[in-house]
Amino acid sequence: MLRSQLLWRLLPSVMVVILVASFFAYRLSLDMATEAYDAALFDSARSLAQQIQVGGGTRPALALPRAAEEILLFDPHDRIYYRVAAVDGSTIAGDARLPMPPAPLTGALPVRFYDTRIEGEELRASAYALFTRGEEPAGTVIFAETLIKRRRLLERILVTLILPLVVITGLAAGLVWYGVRTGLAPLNDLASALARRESSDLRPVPTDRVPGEVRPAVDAFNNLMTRVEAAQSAQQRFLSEAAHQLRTPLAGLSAQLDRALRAQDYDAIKPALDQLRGASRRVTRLVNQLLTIARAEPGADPAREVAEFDLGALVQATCREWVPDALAAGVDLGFAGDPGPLMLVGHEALVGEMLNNLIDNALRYGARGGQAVTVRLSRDPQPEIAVEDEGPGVPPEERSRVFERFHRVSGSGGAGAGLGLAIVREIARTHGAQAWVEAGGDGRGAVFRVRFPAQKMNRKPSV
Amino acid sequence: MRILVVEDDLILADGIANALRAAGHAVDGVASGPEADAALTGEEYELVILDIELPKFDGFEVLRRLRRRKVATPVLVLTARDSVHDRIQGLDLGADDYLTKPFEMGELEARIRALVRRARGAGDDRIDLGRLEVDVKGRRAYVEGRAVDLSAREFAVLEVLASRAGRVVSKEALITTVYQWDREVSPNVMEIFVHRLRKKLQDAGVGIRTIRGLGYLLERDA
Repeated sequence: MLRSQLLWRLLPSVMVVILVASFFAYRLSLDMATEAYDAALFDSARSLAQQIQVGGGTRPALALPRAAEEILLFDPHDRIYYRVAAVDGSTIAGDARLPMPPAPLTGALPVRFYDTRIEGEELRASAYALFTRGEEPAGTVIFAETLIKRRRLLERILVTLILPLVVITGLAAGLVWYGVRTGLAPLNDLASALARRESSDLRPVPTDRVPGEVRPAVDAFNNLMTRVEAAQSAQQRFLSEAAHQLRTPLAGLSAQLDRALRAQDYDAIKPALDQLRGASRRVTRLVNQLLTIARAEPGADPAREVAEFDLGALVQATCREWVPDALAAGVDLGFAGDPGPLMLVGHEALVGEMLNNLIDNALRYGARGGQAVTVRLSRDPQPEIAVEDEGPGVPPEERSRVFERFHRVSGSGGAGAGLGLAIVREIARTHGAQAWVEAGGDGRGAVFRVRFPAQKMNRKPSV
Repeated sequence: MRILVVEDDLILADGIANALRAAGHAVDGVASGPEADAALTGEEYELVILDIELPKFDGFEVLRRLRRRKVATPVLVLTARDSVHDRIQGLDLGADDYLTKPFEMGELEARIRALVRRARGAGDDRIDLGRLEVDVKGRRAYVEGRAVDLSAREFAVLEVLASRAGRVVSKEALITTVYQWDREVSPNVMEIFVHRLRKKLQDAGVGIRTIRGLGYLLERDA
């Protein structure tokens, strides 16, 4: 979800910024408050010290009137403790439980603030050193208070800092939530409109209410829809055309079967059976061609094995397999070109199927008895297969159409379905190759060419 | 010969069984994986014709169980699926041959003959080409019973051409049957051999065709 994604990314950073800012503000105000309270504490300690007479002897004496003591020791929030200690550490006045500063005071540093406690109660203390007129240490005045008002201040600082933090974070989350929701509303509408659609409805999605940021995605989607629709209707046409093409040989099969079933003796059955055999072969060939087309479709075969193979060996082996058929038709089928290895990266079985269709096409339509069909393999500048015949050729206006599915050159005769050259073109296309037909070199016959893209490694080093 | 036909399409099974019976074989037919497995456990067959798409469990499983029992009976797999992947799986599991539906009965019979010959461990000793007979073991060729005067190399070339009669044999394949691999031999040398063979086999009822760029083909005269 975009919304929670945005929130998850935004909120932590907002929190971090607020936390860091609060931390420094807190430290600053804490330091300033401590300083102010410590100054007050020091004032009290010094006022107390002024009431102490440091005579010529070692023991100072405290002369504090009762009223002054009350004023000095009064605090609306905290309990106040004081202690006047002699140089030997003995208590002259005040509370003897109040601990001495952690390090003795010196002339260079006559004042010290420190944290201490009495019976577990935490205190902030200020120690002030007393000196005789001769600058001799005379004792220490300690003035301490509990932490109640300091804690209260701390609480107030924290509350005033954290409350806005919570409010700001909540506000930011709400803003993101609302903003994304209103921003994504058109997308939600789009999603529910698409979810409600029939699978056959491939119309483009209206783009007028789509936010600009999403527009390219929706345009690309619409473009895909258009192509899917075109591909789907092409598939539909192909399927129905294929079914129609199957009907004809099946009708022949059926008719010849009936003829055979009505016949009385073998001599009468035999011609029907021969026809049946022919019709069955036509159905077989057509089904195999349909399968090949399905296999040549991009992405149709998950186990598609694309690898490097020897095109030279494949072409020659395929030609050899066709020689008996060619001889039976009285056609001189031959191979021309360098017989050595020619490595190509592709789907070997499909390229073999393409060759089968090229040779089959030449034998069916290109050559009659006594004529020659030559399969020529050339290497430079690109690997190219050419199948040359001496037949009637393909009229210029038919040359691009012969590669279309189910297209048959009028008056060409034969029992084909018009799929062979379509297979050639589609397998060529999946290999990035071009397939076309042109007139023979001396204007006679036809040359079907398949030119593969230049290979990185054309020839294996000869052994 | 006793053959088990495992095929669940009854029309096809009937066609195969009838053709094989007419050729003089004893044929049993079953139509599912478990039936095939049971038949192959209880009986001994010389050949199994095995469909892959079967009810209950498929032909690959039948084959797997058969080979797990260490039974070496040749298996010819029949299937409508002919992707390279299926083919490799079948052969990996121990199938001996692979035939894609639809096929012609002549093709099936030829494959069966080849499989049985291979299983029995013997090739044909004699190749019969009408008037011409090639005695592979005796290294002699006969025309209407009379021996033809052939050199050892001429005979080797004839043997390869005759054993693949009707099919194209490449010049390279012929040269390697006559010469060692390491010898540099001009491809033209084969033309001399073929020329001599043609002369010596004038009345043998066969012809050796030169197929442009592809090699030679021995065929019986019509």
